[in-house]
Amino acid sequence: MNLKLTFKRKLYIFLMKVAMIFSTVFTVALIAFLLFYVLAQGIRNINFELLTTKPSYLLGKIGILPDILNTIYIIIATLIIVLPLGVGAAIYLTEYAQNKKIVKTIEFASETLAGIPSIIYGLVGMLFFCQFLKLGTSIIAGALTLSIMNLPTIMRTTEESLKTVPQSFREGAFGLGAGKWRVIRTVVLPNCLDGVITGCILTVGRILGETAALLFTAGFAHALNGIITGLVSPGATLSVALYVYAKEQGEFEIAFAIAAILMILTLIINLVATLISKFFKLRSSI
Amino acid sequence: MKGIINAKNLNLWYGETQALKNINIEIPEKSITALIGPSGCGKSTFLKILNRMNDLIPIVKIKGDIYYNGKDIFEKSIDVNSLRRDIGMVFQKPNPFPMSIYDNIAYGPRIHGIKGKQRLDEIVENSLKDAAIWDEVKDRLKKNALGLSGGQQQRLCIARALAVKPKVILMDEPTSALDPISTSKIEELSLKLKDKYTIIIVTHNMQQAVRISDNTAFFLLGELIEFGKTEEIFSNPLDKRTENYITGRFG
Ligand SMILES: Nc1ncnc2c1ncn2[C@@H]1O[C@H](COP(=O)(O)OP(=O)(O)O)[C@@H](O)[C@H]1O
Ligand SMILES: [Mg+2]
Repeated sequence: MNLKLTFKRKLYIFLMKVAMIFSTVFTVALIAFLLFYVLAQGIRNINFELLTTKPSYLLGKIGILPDILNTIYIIIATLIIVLPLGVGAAIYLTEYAQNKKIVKTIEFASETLAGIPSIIYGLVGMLFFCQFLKLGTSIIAGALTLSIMNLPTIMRTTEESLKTVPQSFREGAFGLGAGKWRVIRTVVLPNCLDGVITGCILTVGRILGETAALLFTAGFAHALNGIITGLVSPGATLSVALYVYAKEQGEFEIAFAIAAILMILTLIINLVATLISKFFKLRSSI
Repeated sequence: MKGIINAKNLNLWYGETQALKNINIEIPEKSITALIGPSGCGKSTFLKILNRMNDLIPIVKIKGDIYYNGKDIFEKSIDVNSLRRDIGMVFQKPNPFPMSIYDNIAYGPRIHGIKGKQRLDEIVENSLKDAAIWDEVKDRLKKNALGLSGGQQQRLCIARALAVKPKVILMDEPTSALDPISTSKIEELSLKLKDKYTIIIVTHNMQQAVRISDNTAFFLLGELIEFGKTEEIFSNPLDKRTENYITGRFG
Protein backbone atom coordinates (compact mmCIF):
# COMPACT_ATOMS: atom_id res chain seq x y z
CA MET A 1 0.00 0.00 0.00
CA ASN A 2 2.80 2.31 0.95
CA LEU A 3 4.66 1.45 -2.20
CA LYS A 4 1.67 2.19 -4.38
CA LEU A 5 1.21 5.58 -2.81
CA THR A 6 4.83 6.50 -3.36
CA PHE A 7 4.55 5.56 -6.99
CA LYS A 8 1.44 7.67 -7.46
CA ARG A 9 3.18 10.50 -5.72
CA LYS A 10 6.27 10.09 -7.87
CA LEU A 11 4.21 10.13 -11.03
CA TYR A 12 2.39 13.19 -9.86
CA ILE A 13 5.62 15.03 -9.07
CA PHE A 14 7.10 13.98 -12.39
CA LEU A 15 4.09 15.17 -14.38
CA MET A 16 3.97 18.45 -12.50
CA LYS A 17 7.64 18.98 -13.19
CA VAL A 18 7.16 18.33 -16.88
CA ALA A 19 4.21 20.70 -16.99
CA MET A 20 6.16 23.42 -15.22
CA ILE A 21 9.22 23.05 -17.41
CA PHE A 22 7.03 23.08 -20.49
CA SER A 23 5.22 26.28 -19.51
CA THR A 24 8.48 27.99 -18.57
CA VAL A 25 10.14 27.06 -21.84
CA PHE A 26 7.05 28.03 -23.78
CA THR A 27 6.83 31.45 -22.13
CA VAL A 28 10.50 32.20 -22.54
CA ALA A 29 10.44 31.03 -26.15
CA LEU A 30 7.43 33.16 -26.93
CA ILE A 31 9.00 36.28 -25.47
CA ALA A 32 12.34 35.57 -27.12
CA PHE A 33 10.66 35.03 -30.47
CA LEU A 34 8.67 38.25 -30.16
CA LEU A 35 11.71 40.28 -29.17
CA PHE A 36 13.91 38.74 -31.79
CA TYR A 37 11.34 39.03 -34.57
CA VAL A 38 10.50 42.67 -33.90
CA LEU A 39 14.10 43.72 -33.41
CA ALA A 40 15.27 41.82 -36.49
CA GLN A 41 12.53 43.29 -38.63
CA GLY A 42 12.87 46.73 -37.12
CA ILE A 43 16.51 47.50 -36.57
CA ARG A 44 17.54 47.15 -40.19
CA ASN A 45 14.97 49.82 -41.09
CA ILE A 46 16.20 52.30 -38.53
CA ASN A 47 18.57 54.83 -39.99
CA PHE A 48 19.70 58.33 -39.25
CA GLU A 49 17.48 59.89 -41.86
CA LEU A 50 14.38 58.19 -40.52
CA LEU A 51 15.07 59.55 -37.07
CA THR A 52 15.85 63.11 -38.12
CA THR A 53 13.38 64.03 -40.83
CA LYS A 54 9.68 64.48 -41.28
CA PRO A 55 7.64 62.59 -43.84
CA SER A 56 7.53 64.10 -47.30
CA TYR A 57 5.09 63.01 -49.97
CA LEU A 58 7.03 64.98 -52.57
CA LEU A 59 10.16 62.97 -51.96
CA GLY A 60 8.17 59.87 -51.15
CA LYS A 61 10.04 59.46 -47.89
CA ILE A 62 9.02 58.82 -44.35
CA GLY A 63 10.71 60.30 -41.29
CA ILE A 64 9.58 59.93 -37.73
CA LEU A 65 11.15 62.97 -36.10
CA PRO A 66 7.73 64.62 -35.55
CA ASP A 67 6.45 61.48 -33.86
CA ILE A 68 9.50 61.34 -31.61
CA LEU A 69 9.03 64.98 -30.66
CA ASN A 70 5.31 64.52 -30.08
CA THR A 71 6.05 61.62 -27.77
CA ILE A 72 8.48 63.77 -25.81
CA TYR A 73 6.02 66.69 -25.65
CA ILE A 74 3.20 64.52 -24.44
CA ILE A 75 5.39 62.87 -21.80
CA ILE A 76 6.54 66.24 -20.48
CA ALA A 77 3.04 67.73 -20.48
CA THR A 78 1.49 64.71 -18.82
CA LEU A 79 4.09 64.57 -16.07
CA ILE A 80 3.75 68.29 -15.40
CA ILE A 81 0.00 67.88 -14.99
CA VAL A 82 -0.16 64.57 -13.21
CA LEU A 83 2.75 64.92 -10.76
CA PRO A 84 1.42 67.74 -8.59
CA LEU A 85 -2.08 66.23 -8.65
CA GLY A 86 -1.02 62.69 -7.84
CA VAL A 87 1.62 63.55 -5.26
CA GLY A 88 -0.67 66.13 -3.67
CA ALA A 89 -3.54 63.67 -3.43
CA ALA A 90 -1.25 61.02 -1.96
CA ILE A 91 0.04 63.46 0.67
CA TYR A 92 -3.45 64.46 1.59
CA LEU A 93 -4.69 60.89 1.86
CA THR A 94 -1.80 59.56 3.94
CA GLU A 95 -0.81 62.56 6.03
CA TYR A 96 -3.90 64.69 6.50
CA ALA A 97 -7.16 62.84 5.91
CA GLN A 98 -8.73 61.81 9.22
CA ASN A 99 -11.65 59.79 7.93
CA LYS A 100 -10.13 56.41 7.11
CA LYS A 101 -13.35 55.22 5.44
CA ILE A 102 -13.20 57.97 2.86
CA VAL A 103 -9.52 57.24 2.28
CA LYS A 104 -10.32 53.57 1.68
CA THR A 105 -13.13 54.52 -0.71
CA ILE A 106 -10.88 56.84 -2.68
CA GLU A 107 -8.17 54.21 -2.85
CA PHE A 108 -10.68 51.67 -4.09
CA ALA A 109 -12.03 54.12 -6.67
CA SER A 110 -8.56 54.93 -7.94
CA GLU A 111 -7.72 51.26 -8.24
CA THR A 112 -10.87 50.72 -10.25
CA LEU A 113 -10.00 53.73 -12.36
CA ALA A 114 -6.66 52.16 -13.13
CA GLY A 115 -8.36 49.08 -14.52
CA ILE A 116 -10.66 50.81 -17.00
CA PRO A 117 -9.77 50.13 -20.68
CA SER A 118 -7.92 53.08 -22.12
CA ILE A 119 -10.27 53.47 -25.06
CA ILE A 120 -12.93 54.64 -22.61
CA TYR A 121 -10.57 57.33 -21.36
CA GLY A 122 -10.08 58.28 -24.99
CA LEU A 123 -13.79 58.60 -25.60
CA VAL A 124 -14.39 60.66 -22.47
CA GLY A 125 -11.26 62.73 -23.12
CA MET A 126 -12.46 63.51 -26.62
CA LEU A 127 -15.90 64.61 -25.42
CA PHE A 128 -14.61 66.57 -22.44
CA PHE A 129 -11.23 68.03 -23.38
CA CYS A 130 -11.47 68.25 -27.16
CA GLN A 131 -15.10 69.26 -27.51
CA PHE A 132 -16.42 70.63 -24.22
CA LEU A 133 -13.24 72.53 -23.28
CA LYS A 134 -12.66 73.29 -27.00
CA LEU A 135 -9.06 72.15 -26.97
CA GLY A 136 -9.60 70.35 -30.26
CA THR A 137 -7.63 67.28 -31.23
CA SER A 138 -4.28 68.22 -29.78
CA ILE A 139 -1.30 66.94 -27.85
CA ILE A 140 -2.48 68.86 -24.80
CA ALA A 141 -5.89 67.17 -24.91
CA GLY A 142 -4.03 63.87 -25.17
CA ALA A 143 -1.80 64.80 -22.25
CA LEU A 144 -4.80 65.70 -20.10
CA THR A 145 -6.43 62.38 -20.93
CA LEU A 146 -3.22 60.51 -20.12
CA SER A 147 -2.97 62.47 -16.88
CA ILE A 148 -6.31 61.15 -15.70
CA MET A 149 -5.33 57.67 -16.78
CA ASN A 150 -2.08 57.80 -14.83
CA LEU A 151 -3.25 59.73 -11.82
CA PRO A 152 -4.00 56.52 -9.87
CA THR A 153 -0.54 55.14 -10.64
CA ILE A 154 1.32 58.20 -9.38
CA MET A 155 -1.01 58.45 -6.42
CA ARG A 156 -0.60 54.82 -5.39
CA THR A 157 3.17 54.60 -5.78
CA THR A 158 3.59 57.85 -3.84
CA GLU A 159 1.18 56.69 -1.16
CA GLU A 160 2.95 53.37 -0.79
CA SER A 161 6.30 55.03 -0.33
CA LEU A 162 4.88 57.67 2.03
CA LYS A 163 3.74 54.80 4.20
CA THR A 164 7.23 53.35 4.28
CA VAL A 165 8.82 56.54 5.67
CA PRO A 166 9.57 55.58 9.27
CA GLN A 167 7.25 57.14 11.82
CA SER A 168 10.37 57.89 13.87
CA PHE A 169 11.46 60.53 11.33
CA ARG A 170 8.15 62.31 11.73
CA GLU A 171 8.33 62.06 15.53
CA GLY A 172 11.85 63.43 15.53
CA ALA A 173 10.82 66.45 13.50
CA PHE A 174 7.60 67.08 15.41
CA GLY A 175 9.57 66.76 18.64
CA LEU A 176 11.72 69.70 17.58
CA GLY A 177 8.66 71.85 17.08
CA ALA A 178 8.26 71.54 13.32
CA GLY A 179 4.83 72.18 11.85
CA LYS A 180 3.05 69.51 9.87
CA TRP A 181 3.72 70.84 6.39
CA ARG A 182 7.35 71.40 7.20
CA VAL A 183 7.72 67.86 8.46
CA ILE A 184 6.20 66.60 5.23
CA ARG A 185 8.33 68.84 3.06
CA THR A 186 11.68 68.34 4.75
CA VAL A 187 11.57 64.86 6.21
CA VAL A 188 8.80 62.84 4.58
CA LEU A 189 8.85 63.81 0.90
CA PRO A 190 12.63 63.56 0.38
CA ASN A 191 12.41 60.01 1.64
CA CYS A 192 9.72 58.93 -0.75
CA LEU A 193 11.29 60.33 -3.91
CA ASP A 194 11.89 56.78 -5.05
CA GLY A 195 8.15 56.13 -5.04
CA VAL A 196 7.46 59.27 -7.01
CA ILE A 197 10.16 58.39 -9.51
CA THR A 198 8.86 54.85 -9.85
CA GLY A 199 5.42 56.27 -10.57
CA CYS A 200 6.89 58.58 -13.21
CA ILE A 201 8.69 55.73 -14.90
CA LEU A 202 5.58 53.57 -14.98
CA THR A 203 3.69 56.52 -16.38
CA VAL A 204 6.27 57.13 -19.10
CA GLY A 205 6.11 53.45 -19.97
CA ARG A 206 2.35 53.60 -20.28
CA ILE A 207 2.46 56.75 -22.38
CA LEU A 208 4.93 55.12 -24.75
CA GLY A 209 2.57 52.22 -25.26
CA GLU A 210 -0.71 54.08 -25.36
CA THR A 211 -2.64 54.32 -28.62
CA ALA A 212 -6.37 53.93 -28.07
CA ALA A 213 -6.80 56.97 -25.84
CA LEU A 214 -4.59 59.10 -28.07
CA LEU A 215 -6.24 58.25 -31.38
CA PHE A 216 -9.34 60.02 -30.09
CA THR A 217 -7.68 62.96 -28.42
CA ALA A 218 -4.27 63.76 -29.91
CA GLY A 219 -4.88 62.63 -33.47
CA PHE A 220 -2.31 61.37 -35.95
CA ALA A 221 -0.64 64.30 -37.65
CA HIS A 222 3.07 64.17 -38.52
CA ALA A 223 3.82 67.88 -38.64
CA LEU A 224 7.11 69.11 -37.26
CA ASN A 225 6.40 71.57 -34.43
CA GLY A 226 8.16 73.27 -31.57
CA ILE A 227 6.86 72.43 -28.12
CA ILE A 228 4.40 75.33 -27.81
CA THR A 229 2.76 74.93 -31.20
CA GLY A 230 3.13 71.20 -30.80
CA LEU A 231 1.02 71.15 -27.66
CA VAL A 232 -1.96 72.83 -29.29
CA SER A 233 -1.71 70.95 -32.58
CA PRO A 234 -2.76 67.41 -33.32
CA GLY A 235 0.12 64.98 -33.46
CA ALA A 236 0.90 61.28 -33.44
CA THR A 237 3.12 59.74 -30.81
CA LEU A 238 5.38 56.85 -31.80
CA SER A 239 2.80 54.22 -30.90
CA VAL A 240 0.04 55.99 -32.78
CA ALA A 241 2.36 56.48 -35.74
CA LEU A 242 3.09 52.76 -35.67
CA TYR A 243 -0.62 52.05 -35.91
CA VAL A 244 -1.15 54.57 -38.67
CA TYR A 245 1.80 53.44 -40.79
CA ALA A 246 0.96 49.78 -40.43
CA LYS A 247 -2.80 49.89 -40.70
CA GLU A 248 -3.52 52.76 -43.00
CA GLN A 249 -0.48 53.11 -45.18
CA GLY A 250 0.82 49.56 -45.25
CA GLU A 251 4.32 50.79 -44.41
CA PHE A 252 5.35 47.76 -42.45
CA GLU A 253 9.05 48.52 -42.55
CA ILE A 254 8.46 51.84 -40.83
CA ALA A 255 6.05 50.24 -38.40
CA PHE A 256 8.61 47.64 -37.42
CA ALA A 257 11.30 50.28 -37.10
CA ILE A 258 9.07 52.18 -34.67
CA ALA A 259 8.22 48.96 -32.86
CA ALA A 260 11.90 48.23 -32.39
CA ILE A 261 12.51 51.75 -31.11
CA LEU A 262 9.63 51.45 -28.64
CA MET A 263 10.90 48.12 -27.45
CA ILE A 264 14.39 49.48 -26.89
CA LEU A 265 12.97 52.49 -25.05
CA THR A 266 10.87 50.22 -22.82
CA LEU A 267 13.94 48.17 -22.06
CA ILE A 268 15.89 51.31 -21.17
CA ILE A 269 13.07 52.54 -18.95
CA ASN A 270 12.97 49.27 -17.08
CA LEU A 271 16.71 49.33 -16.63
CA VAL A 272 16.60 52.89 -15.36
CA ALA A 273 13.81 51.97 -12.94
CA THR A 274 15.84 49.08 -11.57
CA LEU A 275 18.95 51.22 -11.27
CA ILE A 276 17.08 53.99 -9.49
CA SER A 277 15.52 51.67 -6.96
CA LYS A 278 18.94 50.10 -6.38
CA PHE A 279 20.42 53.55 -5.91
CA PHE A 280 17.79 54.49 -3.34
CA LYS A 281 18.19 51.20 -1.48
CA LEU A 282 21.90 51.76 -1.38
CA ARG A 283 21.54 55.30 -0.17
CA SER A 284 19.08 54.43 2.56
CA SER A 285 21.35 51.66 3.82
CA ILE A 286 24.34 53.94 4.43
CA MET B 1 13.50 73.93 43.90
CA LYS B 2 10.28 74.76 42.16
CA GLY B 3 8.36 72.41 39.91
CA ILE B 4 8.69 73.19 36.21
CA ILE B 5 6.12 70.58 35.19
CA ASN B 6 3.04 69.90 37.17
CA ALA B 7 0.43 67.24 36.40
CA LYS B 8 -2.95 67.49 38.11
CA ASN B 9 -5.45 64.62 38.12
CA LEU B 10 -4.21 63.50 34.74
CA ASN B 11 -6.06 60.68 32.99
CA LEU B 12 -5.45 59.34 29.51
CA TRP B 13 -7.27 56.80 27.38
CA TYR B 14 -6.31 55.05 24.14
CA GLY B 15 -9.82 54.52 22.82
CA GLU B 16 -11.48 52.57 25.65
CA THR B 17 -8.35 51.50 27.54
CA GLN B 18 -7.14 53.80 30.23
CA ALA B 19 -3.36 54.14 30.19
CA LEU B 20 -2.89 56.84 32.84
CA LYS B 21 -4.97 57.03 36.00
CA ASN B 22 -5.22 60.18 38.01
CA ILE B 23 -1.56 61.17 37.94
CA ASN B 24 -0.40 63.96 40.23
CA ILE B 25 3.25 64.89 40.09
CA GLU B 26 5.45 67.95 40.34
CA ILE B 27 8.77 67.68 38.56
CA PRO B 28 11.59 69.85 39.92
CA GLU B 29 13.60 72.08 37.67
CA LYS B 30 17.25 71.45 36.66
CA SER B 31 17.38 67.91 37.95
CA ILE B 32 17.01 64.42 36.61
CA THR B 33 13.75 62.64 37.19
CA ALA B 34 13.62 58.93 36.43
CA LEU B 35 10.39 57.17 35.50
CA ILE B 36 10.47 53.48 36.30
CA GLY B 37 7.98 50.63 36.22
CA PRO B 38 7.21 47.41 34.35
CA SER B 39 6.65 47.70 30.63
CA GLY B 40 3.18 48.75 29.58
CA CYS B 41 2.62 50.74 32.77
CA GLY B 42 2.36 54.08 30.96
CA LYS B 43 5.84 55.60 31.30
CA SER B 44 6.20 56.47 27.63
CA THR B 45 2.63 57.66 27.49
CA PHE B 46 3.23 60.03 30.39
CA LEU B 47 6.49 61.25 28.89
CA LYS B 48 4.98 61.93 25.48
CA ILE B 49 2.05 63.81 26.86
CA LEU B 50 4.40 66.40 28.37
CA ASN B 51 5.17 67.91 24.97
CA ARG B 52 1.90 66.74 23.45
CA MET B 53 3.37 64.14 21.14
CA ASN B 54 0.14 62.22 21.80
CA ASP B 55 -1.55 64.72 19.50
CA LEU B 56 -0.27 62.52 16.69
CA ILE B 57 -2.45 59.62 17.87
CA PRO B 58 -6.08 60.36 17.03
CA ILE B 59 -7.67 57.92 19.50
CA VAL B 60 -6.15 59.56 22.58
CA LYS B 61 -8.51 61.18 25.09
CA ILE B 62 -7.22 63.24 27.98
CA LYS B 63 -8.77 64.49 31.21
CA GLY B 64 -6.92 66.59 33.73
CA ASP B 65 -4.22 69.24 33.47
CA ILE B 66 -0.54 69.65 32.92
CA TYR B 67 1.13 72.92 33.76
CA TYR B 68 4.44 73.89 32.28
CA ASN B 69 5.89 76.93 34.00
CA GLY B 70 2.42 77.57 35.36
CA LYS B 71 0.72 77.46 31.94
CA ASP B 72 -1.85 74.83 31.05
CA ILE B 73 -0.41 73.00 28.03
CA PHE B 74 -3.81 71.79 26.83
CA GLU B 75 -5.14 75.31 26.55
CA LYS B 76 -6.31 76.33 23.08
CA SER B 77 -3.99 79.32 22.94
CA ILE B 78 -0.88 77.18 23.43
CA ASP B 79 1.35 76.92 20.37
CA VAL B 80 2.33 73.25 20.30
CA ASN B 81 5.38 73.96 18.16
CA SER B 82 6.79 76.38 20.73
CA LEU B 83 5.93 73.97 23.52
CA ARG B 84 7.93 71.26 21.75
CA ARG B 85 10.75 73.68 21.23
CA ASP B 86 10.88 74.20 24.98
CA ILE B 87 10.35 70.55 25.83
CA GLY B 88 12.55 68.46 23.56
CA MET B 89 12.59 64.72 23.16
CA VAL B 90 15.07 61.90 22.68
CA PHE B 91 13.58 58.62 21.60
CA GLN B 92 14.24 55.00 22.48
CA LYS B 93 15.66 54.15 19.09
CA PRO B 94 18.09 56.77 17.78
CA ASN B 95 16.28 58.50 14.94
CA PRO B 96 18.61 60.87 13.14
CA PHE B 97 17.18 62.21 9.90
CA PRO B 98 18.69 60.69 6.77
CA MET B 99 20.72 63.81 6.04
CA SER B 100 24.12 65.18 6.95
CA ILE B 101 25.23 65.51 10.57
CA TYR B 102 25.28 69.26 10.15
CA ASP B 103 21.77 69.40 8.70
CA ASN B 104 20.45 67.19 11.49
CA ILE B 105 21.60 69.67 14.11
CA ALA B 106 20.64 72.72 12.08
CA TYR B 107 17.15 71.31 11.41
CA GLY B 108 15.61 72.62 14.63
CA PRO B 109 17.16 76.09 14.56
CA ARG B 110 16.18 76.44 10.90
CA ILE B 111 12.53 75.64 11.52
CA HIS B 112 12.51 78.27 14.23
CA GLY B 113 13.74 80.86 11.77
CA ILE B 114 17.45 81.02 12.51
CA LYS B 115 19.39 81.84 9.35
CA GLY B 116 22.93 82.74 8.42
CA LYS B 117 25.78 80.30 8.06
CA GLN B 118 27.81 81.77 10.86
CA ARG B 119 25.06 81.54 13.46
CA LEU B 120 24.12 78.04 12.39
CA ASP B 121 27.76 76.93 12.41
CA GLU B 122 28.05 78.20 15.93
CA ILE B 123 24.90 76.45 17.13
CA VAL B 124 25.94 73.20 15.46
CA GLU B 125 29.36 73.30 17.06
CA ASN B 126 28.08 74.20 20.53
CA SER B 127 25.31 71.61 20.47
CA LEU B 128 27.67 68.86 19.37
CA LYS B 129 30.16 69.90 22.07
CA ASP B 130 27.43 69.93 24.71
CA ALA B 131 26.41 66.45 23.62
CA ALA B 132 30.04 65.28 23.89
CA ILE B 133 30.25 64.15 20.30
CA TRP B 134 32.01 67.08 18.64
CA ASP B 135 35.47 65.50 18.58
CA GLU B 136 34.12 62.39 16.93
CA VAL B 137 32.27 64.14 14.12
CA LYS B 138 33.93 67.51 13.56
CA ASP B 139 35.72 66.25 10.44
CA ARG B 140 32.67 64.66 8.88
CA LEU B 141 29.88 67.18 9.42
CA LYS B 142 28.79 66.88 5.80
CA LYS B 143 28.54 63.09 5.95
CA ASN B 144 25.24 61.29 6.35
CA ALA B 145 24.25 60.89 9.99
CA LEU B 146 23.06 57.33 9.37
CA GLY B 147 26.72 56.33 9.00
CA LEU B 148 27.36 56.89 12.71
CA SER B 149 27.26 54.09 15.28
CA GLY B 150 24.14 53.64 17.41
CA GLY B 151 25.67 55.35 20.43
CA GLN B 152 26.90 58.24 18.32
CA GLN B 153 23.49 58.53 16.68
CA GLN B 154 21.85 58.82 20.07
CA ARG B 155 24.25 61.55 21.19
CA LEU B 156 23.62 63.25 17.86
CA CYS B 157 19.90 63.14 18.64
CA ILE B 158 20.62 64.71 22.01
CA ALA B 159 22.65 67.40 20.26
CA ARG B 160 19.78 67.91 17.84
CA ALA B 161 17.43 68.39 20.75
CA LEU B 162 19.85 70.82 22.45
CA ALA B 163 20.18 72.91 19.31
CA VAL B 164 16.77 74.52 19.78
CA LYS B 165 17.72 75.55 23.34
CA PRO B 166 15.04 73.63 25.22
CA LYS B 167 14.35 73.92 28.94
CA VAL B 168 13.28 70.33 29.40
CA ILE B 169 14.57 67.18 27.72
CA LEU B 170 12.44 64.07 27.70
CA MET B 171 14.31 60.81 27.16
CA ASP B 172 12.46 57.57 26.53
CA GLU B 173 14.79 54.68 27.38
CA PRO B 174 17.59 56.43 25.49
CA THR B 175 20.16 53.74 26.22
CA SER B 176 18.12 50.58 25.86
CA ALA B 177 19.38 50.02 22.31
CA LEU B 178 23.01 50.83 23.13
CA ASP B 179 26.12 49.01 24.29
CA PRO B 180 27.51 49.59 27.83
CA ILE B 181 30.17 52.08 26.75
CA SER B 182 27.72 54.25 24.84
CA THR B 183 25.31 53.93 27.73
CA SER B 184 27.79 55.26 30.23
CA LYS B 185 28.67 58.11 27.87
CA ILE B 186 25.02 59.12 27.76
CA GLU B 187 24.70 58.83 31.52
CA GLU B 188 27.73 61.09 32.04
CA LEU B 189 26.29 63.48 29.54
CA SER B 190 22.94 63.60 31.33
CA LEU B 191 24.67 64.40 34.62
CA LYS B 192 26.52 67.24 32.90
CA LEU B 193 23.37 68.58 31.28
CA LYS B 194 21.28 68.78 34.41
CA ASP B 195 22.97 72.01 35.45
CA LYS B 196 21.24 73.71 32.55
CA TYR B 197 18.26 71.52 31.73
CA THR B 198 15.49 69.60 33.38
CA ILE B 199 15.76 65.97 32.33
CA ILE B 200 13.02 63.39 32.57
CA ILE B 201 14.21 59.93 31.67
CA VAL B 202 12.29 56.69 31.30
CA THR B 203 14.45 53.73 32.15
CA HIS B 204 13.94 50.04 32.77
CA ASN B 205 17.43 49.85 34.19
CA MET B 206 17.24 50.38 37.93
CA GLN B 207 20.99 50.87 38.36
CA GLN B 208 20.76 53.64 35.81
CA ALA B 209 18.02 55.36 37.77
CA VAL B 210 20.14 55.15 40.91
CA ARG B 211 23.29 56.36 39.15
CA ILE B 212 21.90 59.45 37.52
CA SER B 213 18.55 60.54 38.88
CA ASP B 214 17.70 62.90 41.71
CA ASN B 215 14.08 61.86 41.91
CA THR B 216 12.29 58.70 40.89
CA ALA B 217 8.68 58.05 40.00
CA PHE B 218 7.37 54.50 40.07
CA PHE B 219 4.46 53.69 37.76
CA LEU B 220 2.31 50.60 37.84
CA LEU B 221 -0.66 49.83 35.57
CA GLY B 222 -1.16 53.46 34.69
CA GLU B 223 -0.91 54.72 38.26
CA LEU B 224 1.83 56.73 39.87
CA ILE B 225 2.53 54.65 42.95
CA GLU B 226 5.34 56.59 44.50
CA PHE B 227 7.44 59.64 43.78
CA GLY B 228 10.34 60.95 45.80
CA LYS B 229 14.07 61.28 46.24
CA THR B 230 15.85 58.48 44.42
CA GLU B 231 17.85 57.37 47.49
CA GLU B 232 14.69 57.11 49.50
CA ILE B 233 12.70 55.26 46.87
CA PHE B 234 15.46 52.72 46.54
CA SER B 235 16.50 52.42 50.19
CA ASN B 236 13.23 52.96 51.92
CA PRO B 237 10.19 52.68 49.68
CA LEU B 238 6.90 53.56 51.31
CA ASP B 239 4.74 51.32 49.18
CA LYS B 240 4.96 47.54 49.19
CA ARG B 241 4.54 47.46 45.39
CA THR B 242 7.52 49.76 44.91
CA GLU B 243 9.60 47.55 47.14
CA ASN B 244 8.55 44.45 45.21
CA TYR B 245 9.49 46.08 41.95
CA ILE B 246 12.88 47.45 42.93
CA THR B 247 13.87 44.20 44.56
CA GLY B 248 13.09 42.50 41.27
CA ARG B 249 10.07 40.54 42.42
CA PHE B 250 8.19 41.39 39.24
CA GLY B 251 8.52 43.28 35.96
N1 LIG C 1 -0.69 54.17 20.30
C1 LIG C 1 -1.32 53.37 21.21
N2 LIG C 1 -2.55 52.91 20.95
C2 LIG C 1 -3.18 52.13 21.85
N3 LIG C 1 -2.67 51.75 23.02
C3 LIG C 1 -1.44 52.17 23.34
C4 LIG C 1 -0.69 53.02 22.45
N4 LIG C 1 0.50 53.29 23.01
C5 LIG C 1 0.50 52.64 24.21
N5 LIG C 1 -0.67 51.99 24.41
C6 LIG C 1 -1.02 51.21 25.61
O1 LIG C 1 -0.91 52.01 26.75
C7 LIG C 1 -0.30 51.32 27.80
C8 LIG C 1 0.94 52.05 28.27
O2 LIG C 1 1.93 52.00 27.25
P1 LIG C 1 3.32 52.74 27.34
O3 LIG C 1 3.10 54.12 27.78
O4 LIG C 1 4.03 52.55 26.06
O5 LIG C 1 4.04 51.90 28.50
P2 LIG C 1 5.59 51.83 28.89
O6 LIG C 1 6.33 52.90 28.18
O7 LIG C 1 5.59 52.01 30.36
O8 LIG C 1 6.06 50.48 28.53
C9 LIG C 1 -0.01 49.92 27.30
O9 LIG C 1 -1.04 49.08 27.75
C10 LIG C 1 -0.06 50.05 25.81
O10 LIG C 1 -0.55 48.88 25.23
MG1 LIG D 1 7.89 52.72 26.73
